[in-house]
Amino acid sequence: MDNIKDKIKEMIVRRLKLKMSPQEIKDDTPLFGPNGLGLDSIDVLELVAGLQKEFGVVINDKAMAERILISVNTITNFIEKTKG
Amino acid sequence: MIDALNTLPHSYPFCFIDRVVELKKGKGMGIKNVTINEPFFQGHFEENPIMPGVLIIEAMAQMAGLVLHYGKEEEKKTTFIAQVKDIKFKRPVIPGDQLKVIAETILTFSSLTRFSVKALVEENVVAEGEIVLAIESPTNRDVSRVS
Repeated sequence: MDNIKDKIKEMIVRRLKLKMSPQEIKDDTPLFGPNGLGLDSIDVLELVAGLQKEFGVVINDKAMAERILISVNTITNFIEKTKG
Repeated sequence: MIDALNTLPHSYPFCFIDRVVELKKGKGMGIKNVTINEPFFQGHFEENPIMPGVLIIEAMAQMAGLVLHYGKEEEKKTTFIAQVKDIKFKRPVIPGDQLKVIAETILTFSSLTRFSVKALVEENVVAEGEIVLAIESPTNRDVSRVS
């Protein structure tokens, strides 16, 4: 399942135009906050769009986003659970 | 007919949709007649009047705002531009042009909505790209925290 994690990291870096390589993101790096990637709410919209388009999973609301968009690990869990 | 002046909070000289031609859930089209009397032509540019690109963005954002508030007349919430994404300007807009402005919803998440926007003159695309609008919530005016 490492493959999925690499794909998520690549999607994050590409869609958010981050100035880093996907390999620099650890599986448990926080997506938000000063100790993580420091993403903001507008980035959330881009991530929701990316997950929908490229991974076929839908995040409907803020509460769901807060539960899922924590790290690459939590996104991976969500995708695996949703897609079986 | 939908009246942009009464639907949007904008007024003279900052209303950039003269008439709404089509408006439905998720999509709308309006026109802006660009006259030589526009105040911005005085300085942009005196010898060579060209509509500033940022004002074409404003027109597209106002059209997106009309789409966003369609069917929600009772709510008068302020809307902000949260992101202007990959906008291309393909040809200059000059006095006498009629801008046809189109906005279409791509995705809504929380207080943010992404639109595909386009402006045309005589069926030629003059500008296109994406705009994200954020609806203000009364308790939170910090755009970086809107969602």
